[in-house]
Amino acid sequence: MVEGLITLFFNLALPLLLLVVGFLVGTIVERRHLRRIRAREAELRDVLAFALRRIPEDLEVSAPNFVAGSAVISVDYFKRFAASLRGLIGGRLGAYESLFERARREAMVRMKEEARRLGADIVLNVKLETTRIQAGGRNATISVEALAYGTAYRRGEGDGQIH
Amino acid sequence: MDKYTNPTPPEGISSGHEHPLVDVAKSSAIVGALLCAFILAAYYGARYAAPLLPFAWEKALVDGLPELEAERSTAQAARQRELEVLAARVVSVMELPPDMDITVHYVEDDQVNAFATLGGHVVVFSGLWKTLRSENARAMLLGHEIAHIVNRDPIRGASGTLMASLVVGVVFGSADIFGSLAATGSLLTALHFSREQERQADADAAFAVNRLYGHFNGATDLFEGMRALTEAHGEPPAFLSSHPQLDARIEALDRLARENDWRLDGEKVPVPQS
Amino acid sequence: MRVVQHLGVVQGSTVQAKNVFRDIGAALKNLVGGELRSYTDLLNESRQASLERMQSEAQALGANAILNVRFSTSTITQGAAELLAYGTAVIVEDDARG
Repeated sequence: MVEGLITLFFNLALPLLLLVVGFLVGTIVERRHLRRIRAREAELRDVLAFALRRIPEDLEVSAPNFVAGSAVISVDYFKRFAASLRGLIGGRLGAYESLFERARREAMVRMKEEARRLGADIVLNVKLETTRIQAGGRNATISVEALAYGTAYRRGEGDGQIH
Repeated sequence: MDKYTNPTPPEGISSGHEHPLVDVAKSSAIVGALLCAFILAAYYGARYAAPLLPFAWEKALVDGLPELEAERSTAQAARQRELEVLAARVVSVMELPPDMDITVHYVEDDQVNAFATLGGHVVVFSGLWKTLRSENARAMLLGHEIAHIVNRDPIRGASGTLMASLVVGVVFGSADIFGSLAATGSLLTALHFSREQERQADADAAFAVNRLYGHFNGATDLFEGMRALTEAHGEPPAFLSSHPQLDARIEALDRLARENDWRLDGEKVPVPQS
Repeated sequence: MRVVQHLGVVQGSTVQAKNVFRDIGAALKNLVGGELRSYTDLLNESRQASLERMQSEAQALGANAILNVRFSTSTITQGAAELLAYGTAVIVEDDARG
């Protein structure tokens, strides 16, 4: 009887508890993260980013620098559960979409922060990449890395020096 | 205005289309429905396919399981022989497939019960056997249990349950195939048959009894006895827990007798008093 | 045509999970090789959806063109992939008018 209850706890109650905790905490963490990203995006508004391969002819830039930003965001227990259910029947994995968005926006913000540190105010040829990072075996935690990189310039005539 | 600007795009284009809980609820419902469909398909598929298995395989499966026999006193050995003799006579008037054989077991136990199980085994408890005061009623009981085996009801029931539990095991990752197989051991004594299977076994037994004695008198005493026991104890005997609908069954047998013009005035064969 | 306004990086992404039934077909196909038609279609559908999301972002910024569009695909778990499309949202005008 006691043994049965313990088994029941580990098989049913514990995952359920983890789900609830994962959902509640995960939602709070996500909301806070997005709020932080939004604030920093607003703050970095004067650092521009474009996915243009060439420098437009009418744009005068100087002091090129390679800049990059990346962020690794982990999946919470609830998202993983939602995804494993979806994995059976297929369809959009809404739970992971917000994860990628957070990772990518964070990476962009970090790239822009680096650009600003270097005195740049425009990043050209921005490229975005995403990688899955999985540590351990089959049931290991899953996280995604987003990477944003590009070439940062200062607008207008400069001294031509690379910083 | 500057030709180069970075206005902020609106949120929620690439994510946040659906609340995560709604998404989980939806996919759980679909997965649940699919799972139920799988389990049902496995259950009914196995029930349908089970009779295709040769009887010898069914027998081999059960022979690996613990022996049903028990130590017997001389009196009990006599009862066992009595049971075997009557079973052989009932078998002789039923059409058994050539590879099928029936093994009967007399078990000293107060339970008012009898059952047929895998491998052609029929178990009769003394609690039921002793309440049957005519050979005709006993033949009806044996005919009923043997008919289950001829109709392959035990293997249907066991395979259905086994396949369904296998599917559950595989889906939930535990995949405890050996556990499921072992669980069939406990299934052996607790097979439940459908109402249709019971009705068919009743009818088959009725034909056998009529052929054996040349009349149908006394056969339904089996069920009348059950009714008396139910009234006396306030609850139905164990035998009826898996054999419901007493009145409907007696009625169906009476109808069968009328339709086939069976004699109802034959002499009941008494059984030796113990 | 000339660009009169650059509006920055716009992107659209979808995360798509394949379902077990397509998986079974794919497993069979893996025995003999060849194109996994169902997967090709699935990924194309999702890529199309990503493009549309990117276009809605650009539209919301008032752009009428996206330059230098790129795709990027990455798997997240077994059987789920993210399909990303991004580019630079711009406003273009006909030379005749500009």
